[in-house]
Amino acid sequence: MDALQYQEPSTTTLLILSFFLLALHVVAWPLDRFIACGLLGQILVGTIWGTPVTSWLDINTENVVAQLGFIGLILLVYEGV
Amino acid sequence: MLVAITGIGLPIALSFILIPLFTSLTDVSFLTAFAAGASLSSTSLGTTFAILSAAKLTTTRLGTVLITAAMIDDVVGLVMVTVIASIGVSVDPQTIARPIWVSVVLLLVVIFGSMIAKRILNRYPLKIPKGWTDQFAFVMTGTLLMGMTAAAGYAGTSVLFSVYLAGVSATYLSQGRALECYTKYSLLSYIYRL
Repeated sequence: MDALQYQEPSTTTLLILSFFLLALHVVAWPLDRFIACGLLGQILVGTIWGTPVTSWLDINTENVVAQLGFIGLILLVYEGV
Repeated sequence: MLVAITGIGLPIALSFILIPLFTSLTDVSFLTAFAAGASLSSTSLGTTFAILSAAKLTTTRLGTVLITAAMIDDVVGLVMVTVIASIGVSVDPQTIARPIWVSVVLLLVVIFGSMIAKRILNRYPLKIPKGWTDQFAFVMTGTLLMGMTAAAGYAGTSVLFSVYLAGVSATYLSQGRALECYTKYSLLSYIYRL
């Protein structure tokens, strides 16, 4: 294979991934507002979507999400917030 | 500083207590206790920053102390990883000392570099056309971050430490007349807008 073959993702993949992104925000907001630890909810969401619990995201997607998350950490540390 | 040392030292010290407590049950060697203590003593920078920003503590003194301690623990954690990985195998002192002295040199270079840059830019301020401030700040922030990441990653120190120093020096440079347009640009909000 020379190049990546473009395939439209299946409906299942689309729904799982968009639900993951929405759940991250939805869970973080009330926890942040009331007990200042939205991060715990996001960790829980990541654990549920991930390998040992439900495996809705496959291992490649999890790797990519972790790498993008590290870039986000770099930006967060730069801002000093 | 004291917070950082306690954060590293206390878990390792506590794990050594396990030895006399559990010697009746199993054989706990010093190596096992040290490995357990070292793995428990790492501080997660992401968690620290996220919780501090959610609780709005970043500008208080407590927040600053915690962030600095987390930074120091990050560098020490990097050293610990190389130590643990090479304990059974032959130990090359260069691999252990490298993160430490690279971090110290990086700190000194950033401090003196930004002081010198501020003096120079106070004399000869950069002129940027009015409408281009946003784009200029974005490009400068992007290049600075990627440069610091590359420098730290290849020199052998912790990337997050170098990026933190870059952020501090950016705040320092953006005060006063030196580089007025270079306010510390929040790349995060820009990426969300994308």
